[in-house]
Amino acid sequence: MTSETLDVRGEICPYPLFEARKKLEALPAGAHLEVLIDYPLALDNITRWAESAGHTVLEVEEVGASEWRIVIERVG
Amino acid sequence: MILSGLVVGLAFGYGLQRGRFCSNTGFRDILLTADSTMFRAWALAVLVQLVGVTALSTSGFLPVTVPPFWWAANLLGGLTFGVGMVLAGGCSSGTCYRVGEGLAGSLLALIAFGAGLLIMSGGALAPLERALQGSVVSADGESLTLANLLGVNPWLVVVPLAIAVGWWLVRSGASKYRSGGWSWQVSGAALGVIGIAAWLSSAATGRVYGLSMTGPMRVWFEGIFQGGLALDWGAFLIVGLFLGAFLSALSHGEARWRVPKGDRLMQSIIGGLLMGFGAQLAGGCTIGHSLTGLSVLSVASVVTTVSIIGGAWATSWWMFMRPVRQMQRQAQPVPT
Repeated sequence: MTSETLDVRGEICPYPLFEARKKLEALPAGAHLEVLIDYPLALDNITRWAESAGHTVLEVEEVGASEWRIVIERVG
Repeated sequence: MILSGLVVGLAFGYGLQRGRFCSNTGFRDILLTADSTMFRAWALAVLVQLVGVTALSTSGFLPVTVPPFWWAANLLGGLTFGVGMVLAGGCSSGTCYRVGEGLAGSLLALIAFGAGLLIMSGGALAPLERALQGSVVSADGESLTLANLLGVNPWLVVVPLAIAVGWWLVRSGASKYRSGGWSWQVSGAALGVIGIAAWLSSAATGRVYGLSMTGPMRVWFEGIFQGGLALDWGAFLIVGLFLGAFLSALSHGEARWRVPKGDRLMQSIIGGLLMGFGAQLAGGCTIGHSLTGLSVLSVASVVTTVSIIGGAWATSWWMFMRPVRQMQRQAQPVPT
């Protein structure tokens, strides 16, 4: 199973979402993408987009002060 | 009295940070991700303030000022601001509260925003400002509003608008949040009430307007770069905004120095500069026009807001949607 990591910490709005979307859509179905972010709005944006696009948000983990790790599975 | 600006600013900064409220996100994401969550927060804030300010002004409790309708300046200024805010990753208020959260890109955008204001207001581009703000459309000498344009009582415009927008908001339901910020309902209502409080407390000091960023920012930048700083209610509003956003971010563990890559910093500077040009030309930004000006049904604010959205959408499409489309077109069929 493919699994990739994207580090968009420090990025401004909407690059975290944009980069995550590009990366995820380039992966085969079933692949997991781990996204590292440090901006709260990006957490809401990315997970909301992923779910509305039909992907699965597998994990949201707060790994530090205002720092999160999101794991999304590409569906279809 | 002008210290009430500080109090309103603190509440404003706190509310912006908790609500993650940014017109840039609100306007942009309708197109970019078909997500209207932030747009709903903005619409609710406008609605609350519109009804409140109309009630206070028509009953004689509150004097109001309506921004003049310089059609060419509002149109071009709004477009320029819309392009700039997408590049900078935040409108003027969004940029300010993000400075309070510790975003390096936003700090650069803010400084460039100030530079843009000064270049357009009294600097090299001042002739352009004078030319574009020269053609004013008014209603018998009064600033144009949707009410005097149609020749009706303001309530005849406000009530149908409130019913239509309210109906849409009630039907649109809840959104999912994972970051622990305020929901769109809470942030919209809170910012609407803060907007009304801004009108009341600012008018009491002789500054007859509500929340705004462009004018107060120019006061600060002119004072700092050219001397003669004259602190008024608006200047304290800005101080409160930074402080409120910083305290909110700090107390929720979200204050953190965040530095993007070099080319993104460059992009923030260009975006900030364009926002400064646009806001100065249009006589306001997503706060002064798209929140406060709309609460007095200003035609200038309607035109500026529509232009800002147009500029933001065109830029979002070019920068973020076109590349995804191209990628999808080139992609090999994915095995399932």
